[in-house]
Order: sequence, then C-alpha cells, then structure tokens
Amino acid sequence: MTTRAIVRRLVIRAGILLLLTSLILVSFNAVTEQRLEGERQQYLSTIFGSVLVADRYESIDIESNDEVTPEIVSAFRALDSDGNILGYVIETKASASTGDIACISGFSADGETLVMLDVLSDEVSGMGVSSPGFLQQFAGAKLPMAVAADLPDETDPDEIYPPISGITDGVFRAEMEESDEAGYRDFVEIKVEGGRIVEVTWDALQADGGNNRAQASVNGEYKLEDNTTIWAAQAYAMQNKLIEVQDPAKIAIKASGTTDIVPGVYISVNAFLILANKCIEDSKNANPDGAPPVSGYDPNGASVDNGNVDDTDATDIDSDLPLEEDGVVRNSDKFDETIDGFPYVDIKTKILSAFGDEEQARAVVRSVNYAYRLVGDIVQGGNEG
Amino acid sequence: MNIALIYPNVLIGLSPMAVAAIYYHGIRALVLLLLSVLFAGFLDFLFVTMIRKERYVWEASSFVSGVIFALLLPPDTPIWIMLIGVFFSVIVMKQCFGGLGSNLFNPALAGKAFLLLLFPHAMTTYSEPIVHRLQIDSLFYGTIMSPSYQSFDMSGVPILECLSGRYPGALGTTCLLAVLIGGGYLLLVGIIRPHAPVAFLSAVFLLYFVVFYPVSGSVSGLPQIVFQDGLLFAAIFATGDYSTTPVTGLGRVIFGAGAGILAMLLMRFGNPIFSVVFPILAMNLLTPVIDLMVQQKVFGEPRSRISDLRKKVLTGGRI
Amino acid sequence: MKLADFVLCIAAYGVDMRKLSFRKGLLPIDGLRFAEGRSLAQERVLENFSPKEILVPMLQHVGIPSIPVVTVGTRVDIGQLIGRSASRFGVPIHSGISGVVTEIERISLPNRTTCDAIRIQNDLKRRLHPSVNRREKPERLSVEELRKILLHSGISGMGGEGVSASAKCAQALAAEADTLYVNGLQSEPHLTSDLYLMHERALQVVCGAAAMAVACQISRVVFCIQETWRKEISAVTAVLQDAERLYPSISFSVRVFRARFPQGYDKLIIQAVYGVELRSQESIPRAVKAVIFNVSTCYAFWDMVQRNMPCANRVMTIADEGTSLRNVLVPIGTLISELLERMPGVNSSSRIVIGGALTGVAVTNLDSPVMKTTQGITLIKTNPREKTPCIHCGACVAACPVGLAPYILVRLIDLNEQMVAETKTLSACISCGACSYVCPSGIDLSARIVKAAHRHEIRTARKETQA
Repeated sequence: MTTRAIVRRLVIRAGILLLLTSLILVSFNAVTEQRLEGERQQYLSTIFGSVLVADRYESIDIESNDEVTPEIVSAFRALDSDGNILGYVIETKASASTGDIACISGFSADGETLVMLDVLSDEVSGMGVSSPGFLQQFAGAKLPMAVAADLPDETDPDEIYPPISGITDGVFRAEMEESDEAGYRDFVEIKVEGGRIVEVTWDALQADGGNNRAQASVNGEYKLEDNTTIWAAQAYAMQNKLIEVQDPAKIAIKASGTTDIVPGVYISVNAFLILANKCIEDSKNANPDGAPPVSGYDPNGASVDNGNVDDTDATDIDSDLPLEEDGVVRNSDKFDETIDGFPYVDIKTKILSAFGDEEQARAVVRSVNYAYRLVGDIVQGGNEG
Repeated sequence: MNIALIYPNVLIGLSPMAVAAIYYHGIRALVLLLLSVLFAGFLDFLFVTMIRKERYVWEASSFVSGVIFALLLPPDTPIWIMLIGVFFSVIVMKQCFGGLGSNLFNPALAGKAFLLLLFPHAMTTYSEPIVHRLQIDSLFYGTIMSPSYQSFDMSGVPILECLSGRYPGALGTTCLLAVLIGGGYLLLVGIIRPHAPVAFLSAVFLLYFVVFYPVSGSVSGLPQIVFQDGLLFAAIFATGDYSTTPVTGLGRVIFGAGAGILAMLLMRFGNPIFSVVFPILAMNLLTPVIDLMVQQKVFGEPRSRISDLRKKVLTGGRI
Repeated sequence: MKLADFVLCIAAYGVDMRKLSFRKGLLPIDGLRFAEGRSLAQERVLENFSPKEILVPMLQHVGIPSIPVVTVGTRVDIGQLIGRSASRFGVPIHSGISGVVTEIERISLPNRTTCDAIRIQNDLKRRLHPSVNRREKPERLSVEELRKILLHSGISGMGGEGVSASAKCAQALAAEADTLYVNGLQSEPHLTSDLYLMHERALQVVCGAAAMAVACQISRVVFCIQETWRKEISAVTAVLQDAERLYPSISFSVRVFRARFPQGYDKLIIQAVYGVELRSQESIPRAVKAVIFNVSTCYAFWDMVQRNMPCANRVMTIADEGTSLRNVLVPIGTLISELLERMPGVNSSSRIVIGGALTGVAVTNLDSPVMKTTQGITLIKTNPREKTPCIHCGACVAACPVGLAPYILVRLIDLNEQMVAETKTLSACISCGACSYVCPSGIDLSARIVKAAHRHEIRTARKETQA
C-alpha cells in the first residue's frame, strides 16, 4: 500500500475513534449534568429555603460587578418554574472581632425589601445575632437598614427615658419561688451600670434540670399555645423594652397580664414585671448613700471614658463633643450623615441589637446593606448571571 | 506488521483517552500531553544521536511512551515534575537499558513509579474534573486546584460517572469507556494480544473474592477496585507493550496473572497507591525468566531445544 | 463452478470436510493475499513461451549432476535426451526445444551449486523427437513398465524438492506405503502453477497421480487442496469419476486443508494428517507409510505415460506482486532475463525472486535458467525498510511453524555460532521465511538462520516444499 493510502487509513481510524469517544463523553456528561444540577438545586433549596423559597436558583456572575465588596460571597437569582424572577439571594460574610459571620439574605424582585435573613455561622444558637428574636426584625424589612444604636435619635434626647433614680450598679437577680404548671421557675436578672439598667435577662429554670425556657423554646421543647412567636423572642423583646424605658412601671399591662406596647409580645408578662421590680428594689437597697450614677455613659454605645471607641460604621464619634449631664450626646451636627454609604434619611429600618452584640449586629447589617446595593445594581443593569 | 505502523496505531488507540483528558481537564491536560510527548521524543533523539552516535530511525515509540506516561499523571501535576518523570522514563529506563526493544521495564510505568516515590503528595492528589478546564495560572509550578481529593472514595460514584470518567483521577485513566474503545481497537488490529489483559483482569476478579470479600462481605467494592487509579488502563496498555512482556502466549498469561495477583495483594495488604504500577514492573523484571522457561516445543524434538540452547550459549557451555 | 455444484461434488465423492491444518504458520489475515489479482481470464489462457535459447543445467535434482550426452553442434529435438543420470538417485535431462547445442558451460546456480549446463539455440521448428508418441491404453501399464517409464522420465520433485521421482517411488515400495498424497496446497502467495494445473488439466493430474500410485503399488490416492481454492476442489472432484473408470483399483479422495502458510511443506502435511511430527532426517514413507508427490510432478508423469513426453517443460507463474499474475508453459532452461524481456507489462525494476515471495531466492544474475523445481518467479517491489532493532514482539515465535524462536536463534547465532551449530536446532528450520515476513522491524531472520546453517553445512529441512 502506498504511504498515502496507509496514512489515510490511519487518519480515518483515528477520526472514528475520536468521534466515538467525543460522542460518549458529551452524551454521558449531559446526563450527569442534569442530575448534578438537580442535586445542586436541591442543596441550594435547603440552604436558601429559609430566606427565599424558589423553584430554581441561578448563579449570577458577579466577578465584574463594581458593587462587589469583599463581604459578598456569591449571588443567585431565584426563579419560579416559569422562569419569572422571584427575587435574589446573596451570600455574605461579614467580619466581626469574634469571627466571620456568614449570612444569606433574600431580597424581593425589585430589590427594595429584604424578604428574610439567615445567619449560617455556628454560634451559640438562639443567642446573639442568630437568635430568632434578632432575626425576626429582618423579615420583610425595607432597605437600607441600620442598627438603631448607630442612628442618631430622632426623638428629643430629653425624651429619652430617664433611669430610675437611686439604683446602684451591679447585677441583681430575682427568682420565683415556685415553678409554674410547665415546671419552669422564672427569674429575672438586671445589670445596672452607670446608674442605668443596661442588661436584662428573663428566663426560667426547669425544675428537673433541663434546658432553660428560652433555650427550650428555641429547641422546640417548649411551645406556647400560640407559638407564632416563640417565647424566647418575646422575652427578648421584653428585655429590650425594659432597657429602653428603664422603669417597669412604664410598661402598661392589662388585667390579663399582657401588654400592648411591645410589638410581638402577647404572653403574660406579669411574672417578668414582678421580678424586675424586685431586682430594682434590691438595687436601690444596695446603694446606701444614693450616689449619682457614674458619668460618661453614652447611649450610643461608646464608652467615652475608656477612650476605646468602637467604631464599626461610617459614623464618627467626635470625642470632643460636649457632654450633657447624663452623658447623652445631643449635638448631632458633627456626625457623618451616612451609614454604609446610605444617608440617614434613607434608612428605612432600624434594627435593635442586644447589648454586647452591637458589633456583630452591625456586621450583619453592613452585609445586608452591601448586598442591597449589589442587588440594586443587578436589577438595574439586568445583569446576566 | 510493520514497525512504522505499530506505534502510530497505538497512538490512535490512546487517542480516546487523550480526548477524555482534554475534555475533563482542559488546557492543563493538553499542555501536559503535548509537553510529555515532545520532550520524550526530543530526549530519545538526543540520546541516540549524541551519546550512542547512531542514526535515529524515526518511529513513534517514544511518543507512545510519552503519551502513556502523561495519561497516568494527576491533572494538576506541576510541569517540572512531569519533565523529571519523562527524563527518568526515557533516558534511564529505556535508553540506558539498551534502547528500543532492550528495555527491561516499561518506561512509562517506571516513570510514574519514580514520581510516586519522589513526590507522593503531588502524585496522589486529584482535582475535580471540569471545574478548572480553562484555568492556566500556576501551570508550571502547579498548585493543586481545589476541590481536590487525596484518597477518593469511588463507592459513592454512580455508574454513569464511572464510565464517563467524571470523577477525580489521573488524566487518561478515568474514562473507562475510552479505555475500552482504545483497547478494543488495538485488540482488533492485533497489536495487543488478549492473553495478558484477560489474565490480569481475571486474576483481579478472582482474587477479589479471596482477599476482599471475606473482609467486606459484599461485592460492591469490586467496581471501586477495578475502576480505581488506572487499573484497567494499565491492564490493557501496559501489559500489551512488546518489549517488556513475554514472547509466548502462555508466558503472557503468566505475566498477566502474576501482575493481577500482586496488584490485589498490594491493594489489601500494602499501600494501594502503588498497586497499579509496581506489580507490572515486578512482572517486567520476571519476563526474561518467563521467556526462558516457557518455550514452544520444536517440531519433531522430544522437548524444547531453544531454552537448552540459550542456556548453553549464554553461559558459555557450562550448563 | 457454483457453490451448489461444489457441494454436490463433495457430497458425492465423500470429501472429508474436516479441515486439516498444522499449528501456527501465517494466516491470510496476516496480510498474505494469496494469489491476489487472479482472474479467470488469466487462468484459461496459458501462454506457450518459446524462448530464443535455453540453458539446461545438469543438476536440477538432489544428488550428483547428470552427465551431458551431446556435444556442441548436436542437433536436438523436443524430448531428446541430453544428459544421463549419473547415479541411482539422478535423473536424466531432456531438451524442451528443438535446436542446436551451442555451448556446454559451467554455471553457478542461484542456490549456490555449480554444474555443467547445455545451451541450446532454438531453431523454432518444434521438431518432436521420434520417441515422443502416444501410448495405447496407458492405464493398462503394469507396475514394472510404469517404473521404467518413471526412471526415464527425468522427473524430479517439481514442487521444489528436487528428489528424483523414481527414487522416491523405490523408497515407497520399500517402505510398503499405502497412501499417496498429491500436494496441491501451494501455500506460497502469488504462485498459482499447481492451481492452474488442477483447474484446467485436472484429468491429467488425477491420472498421473493414479499412474504414480500404481507404480508405487499404492491403492489410495488423496488430493490435498487448500480450502480457499474451491474451484480447484470442484475441478478435481469432477474428474474423479473418470479417473476411477480408468483406474478402478485405486480409491481417490480429496482432503481440504486450512489456508495457512506454509501448509505445503511435506512434514507439515504429515503432521496435519497423522498428527506426527517428523524430524528433518526422518523419511516419510518409512515413518507413516505414505508418500507425497507434487501436482506438477503427477502432471508431468501423465505426460510421459500418455505420450512419452519426458519432463522438459513446465508451467510456472510470473507474479508481479499483487498486480498481475500469469502462468506460462516454458521449456526447462528458459532464461529468466528472456522471460522478463518478452513478457509485456512486467515491471523489471523490482527485485526478482526465484520461487515465492517468502521462500524464494533472490537473483541478481538474471541469466539464470528455469529449472524443473522452479515454480515461478516473483517480482517484489523494492521497498527498503529501515531495520530497527528487535522489539521482542514475539510475532516470529507465533509464526514459526516448527516452533522455533527465531529472534533468539538469531541473537544466539550472533553470539556464538559454533555452539548453535553443534546442537541440532538449526536443522529444524524449514526455511519457510514466515518469520522474516512478519517481523515488524524488518530483520531478515530466516535468511540469517539459513545462512548460518549453510555455513556449517547443516542440512536444514531444505526446501522440501510441495514434494
């Protein structure tokens, strides 16, 4: 056979083999892709389902997007089975001094409303920023948002609830003597610092040594008759309310023991108020000479005294600011008027955080705000994902 | 058969695996393959013309060993490691033993074994296919692209993916259908004789029931063993190499069976990462002995005379 | 003949359909295209070649050269004795043309022998020697008469063996052989002279075999044909009936063999039929009580029996590898150079090989004559292949019909030839050339082994082809 014929024969054979292999590779992988895609969607659904339920999640390419900050991990478009956009899900990772907090946030299709937020980090579940009470605030929140403590109070500082006079610093605790029908014995603990109630804890011990009621309600062991809001969330709200108003007497309760002034709380708070009053009594009694509270307390969360300004936002706190008698900063002209780049007037939602969690709350809110910006860009630019 | 035709046909038989490698691992695979082939050919040529000072006959055997070697590597192999392997395989294992036809060990497998011993981490880390097809950064020095796997558990891989090769593994050995297509072609053309591969796989299969079944009590581990780490690839291509396998049919059967037994023993009692290349290398070492002992019967002679003759001549008449 | 006829013939004559073969050898799938390019047109027409001159060697057989009985200037006719046998195993030589003796010279033949040769110039008159005339009732000839005819026929093994047919007959008688095998296997690719004879002159072949059987006092005749040659099988079986009428005392049958090279070697035939492996020194008649004769030999004998025409012509094939094939009837002694010149369409730039592509001897001197043992010449396209070292592939081991390992033999010969020669291994080689053919590296294994054997004067099972 001539060389040309030989070469031609070899080339034909090679071509056949390559064709066969390519066919197999492409077809098998097409089938596998389908299955993998299905698995992936299922996986995404389990994770994202807590913030935004959809039939399909499509990854959006954000490499080239200017709005991407280091906090943003990934972005997805949530679609229903017909391909309509239901909204967006953004994965973020915010850094706080305690570590990174990974969150996912679901946004509405127009990008203006936060459908829900979920925190993925492995913290003590139920407490801190992963507590349901905290997270509940984000459901359906309008954007942009800010931690309430970072915003200058719109209300007249004079109207800030004054602390009860005569209380001394320290930690005071009061417990019920008997358990209730469910076997829980309520207790309230108050921390007073600088003459103000700064921390309140309302929980209940289980008589036989199980989880506290707050933990139990998070676990699902303890359920209210109407469990729309779990007990821990309601207790949390009460705690914050007391910190806000300072005086248990200011929390008006009805004959049934419930109160209307704390949103989301519909259980009987009688026990709470009784115990709180008892703690305050103890606090008053512990201070023999009734000295005035320690000055230098700044309701904005920064203790000017120790010079350790916890600055996590764009807000600058000028340490030269004149202080009033009770340490509340009144003059807000010198503040930067933005949070995360959003001017104060645009902030549509205020998030309350528990004392001690401000930094993390701030981190979470920051991630949400950046994600909001990204989503806005995506929605506008019709970004191809 | 013409030597000018054998090795091109072997290359054709290897092309399905090369296609699969490029499909799954993209540019990295292409670069590794090309460089391996070219470097192997170049080294071969250099050695023959400069050191042996002979005329170099252009045939594709060095390319073939270059391709086989490249197909055995993990996809993230740094190029400098691969070059070292090619150097060892061509210069030391092939040319230093006497060149084409005189080598004792299979050069490609010996190169892989060499790298396994020197760079065990790089040689046993396999990255996920498809994900990084187009990435060419850190090609030379190589960082292991994540996600990557050290010891990949094949039992979780569905059968479709086993066949199509979409799981972490060496470049060319994952897609089993490609191996079967290429091997089938070579068997059809008559370049690979079926004795050794069939013996090898039969030994593996049978020994599975002796070695593994009593321990695990199930047959599900069998696919894992067969599909793992290029066993099928080595069974077909490494046992079909001419120079390093016995000459007679029975000899090849012994070769395959021995290699299979050793492979299973290594997998159970030794380090499984060695279980593919080292048994075959060991049997390569035994090939001259097998050739000596397994001889055809010469026509009309009561017993074989060639081995007597060979013994006599090689020992100067002492035996 | 169509397949149906073929089957009927087989059924009628009880051809044993069990196909015989020996182990190993080369199969057609190895690329040997047997008689590629054969066509019916080429078969029917046999060219009668009339050379300008012939050069008849005195040694065309195994043994001592015959002695010339003519001198320069003698006028000779077709069929005239020009050389008498010098020994019991010799054969007489006859002229195949009519003309004048121009020279008696010493020549050396391609197979390295030297002998006298008679050069006769053709006068183109085609005069037949008076002794050449038809015999009445040749089938009635007795054993002694047939033996005498055989002795004078000048037939030596025309399949290439070259053993005097008369001597073989004597051997068969002495060994009390009971079967005569007609070797029509001709497994060498491209050569089709025997096949032509079986196809076109089937009756002569069969009758010749029968006559030979009578001369050897054998009553069973078996025709050995390869399975691929269906037409030949049909042709032979078709005439068996007629032959049986002529020779009622003899039973005829056809045995089909698998298509393998080199099936035609006599020892391999014996191995296929009897399952016995004979050493090269052993004689077949004594071992298995059988004797093998070539088709051309039988045909030549019938020529002699029927019209007293001695062995002075033969059918040979001119094969241009794969492209063209023709069978020609040439007088013994025709020069190859003349053949090639006068044959149209022969590409003379190829290598000329006397014999077949695998077992033939390459000639450089084209003035070599066609001998009684020449089955044909093959023109091989010169395709110099680069010799690469042995890659230890084992193809030669698989191909060797006698179970040698040629690659080792060659290596050992290179190392220590003397020692190899002292053992008897080299004598087992039948120099069939299969190993050289399959070697992918192009190493000439067969030639080297045979040369080593020659150097040490070992008789390899010397081209005992086709009896």
